[in-house]
Amino acid sequence: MNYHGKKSLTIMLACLGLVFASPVMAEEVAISSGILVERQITENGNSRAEWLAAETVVPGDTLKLVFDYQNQNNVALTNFVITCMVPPSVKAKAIDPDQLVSVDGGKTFDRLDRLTVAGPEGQPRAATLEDITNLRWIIPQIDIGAKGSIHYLGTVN
Amino acid sequence: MSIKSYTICQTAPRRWREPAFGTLCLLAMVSTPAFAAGTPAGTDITNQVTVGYSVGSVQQTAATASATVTVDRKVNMTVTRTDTASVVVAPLQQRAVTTFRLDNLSNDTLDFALSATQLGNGATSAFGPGTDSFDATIVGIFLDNGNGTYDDGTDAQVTYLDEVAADANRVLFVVANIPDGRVTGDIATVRLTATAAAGGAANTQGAVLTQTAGANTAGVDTVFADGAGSGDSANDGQFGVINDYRVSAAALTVSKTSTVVSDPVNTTTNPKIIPGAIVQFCVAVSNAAGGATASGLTVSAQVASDMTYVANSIRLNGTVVSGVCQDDGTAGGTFNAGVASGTLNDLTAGSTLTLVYQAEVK
Repeated sequence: MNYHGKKSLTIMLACLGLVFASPVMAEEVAISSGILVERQITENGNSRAEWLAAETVVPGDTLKLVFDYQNQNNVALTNFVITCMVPPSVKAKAIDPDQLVSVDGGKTFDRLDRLTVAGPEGQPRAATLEDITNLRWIIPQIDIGAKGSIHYLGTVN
Repeated sequence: MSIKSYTICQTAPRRWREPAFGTLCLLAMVSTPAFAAGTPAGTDITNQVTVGYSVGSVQQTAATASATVTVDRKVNMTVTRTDTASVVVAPLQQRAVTTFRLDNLSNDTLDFALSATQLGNGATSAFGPGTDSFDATIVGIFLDNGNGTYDDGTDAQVTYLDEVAADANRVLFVVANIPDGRVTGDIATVRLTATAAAGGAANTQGAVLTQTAGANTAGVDTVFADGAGSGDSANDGQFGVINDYRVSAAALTVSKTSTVVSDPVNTTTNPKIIPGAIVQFCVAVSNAAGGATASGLTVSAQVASDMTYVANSIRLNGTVVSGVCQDDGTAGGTFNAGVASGTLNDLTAGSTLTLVYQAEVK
């Protein structure tokens, strides 16, 4: 394939363990998006947290919002930027301090501790997890055939 | 939850530093109102991702993908008693009121079936001291009209609560009649239980909800998240709480004493009961400690047929000191048809008041 020519991009989604039956074509990058929910599993008297397919979701649940990607092209991909929108009914739970976030609907991205939002009387205040509207990850290069996964945690309001 | 949709879409190619996120940004700015009960059932949560990248130095088409789940119905509620102490009642009191409040902590509008029951003798009471010892006769459950106070004849009797929105609450009254023959300290404990039922249809009680069992269904599933109330378990779609009626009866005792005031021979010095002697009678009414205040006390004393009532001699609300009726009180009362009578002031527990009158021996 001539990678300078017109690209035919096919996205394959595989979420929640349910493979979306897209025909396998000459994919160049495959991304998938999924939602998992944290559940406490008790076995032999021991309790542990597991991430399960989000079959039942109620307020207060902790979600893992997952994105998988794979370079199926025959060249490396560069400046691979993944941007997601935090659903309105979900609050980001905890993020890496270096995580790029937006508190203005995706107009600007920076570390959370560098962002401010308008306070109740118009005065700027430091942004908090509740203010995050979008998250962004930048991967400088994805080699041929390389794949990866990113995620963040959120709480259902 | 139902897995609502997967979407695949592509947006037009853009220069890398101007990614095509405008539409997403607008969506992100639409915020859901904050609910203490949480995101409403049926709300979609969409995990949407947008990817942009370059091949060589050429910016490629941006792409998005998303997965959506639907928030299920989380059933949670509390019923609390808002009385801060036992509701004090008297024997034979009609329509005594205990007050409750239901809070719908679910993320959905629900109906709630209501039931009020009596606990059995010996059951733990809400406030104590002591345990349940009698049953009041429950008249019914009444829904407050919004002023927080039971209004007899105004507040409607209900068997269920209709269309209680998420985070909303209702004030409820359990109204009961108190039987006769109960003594101070007797307790009747009542339990008000609310059972979650489906909302959506006004003016009719929806079906009692059951928790969705087994695998995920296509619709909005139901999850019970309620705590354990009185007489019910956690996660059962029910919540009950108890409240007390506590009897405070006035335990009255009456004694009558007499003193010879004078006679025609000895006058006031060691007078004897001879014809013409004046005798002072004292009717003392005592209310035992620990009970209720007795009000509207009417005292009547028959003047013996061999005596003549001394006109205007009745005095009311006198006192007794160390068992001795005092020569005090204020003029009042009436004498009619051989009976001296009068109405005493409110008689608090542990106190005594008197009616005093004089009569002459015929």
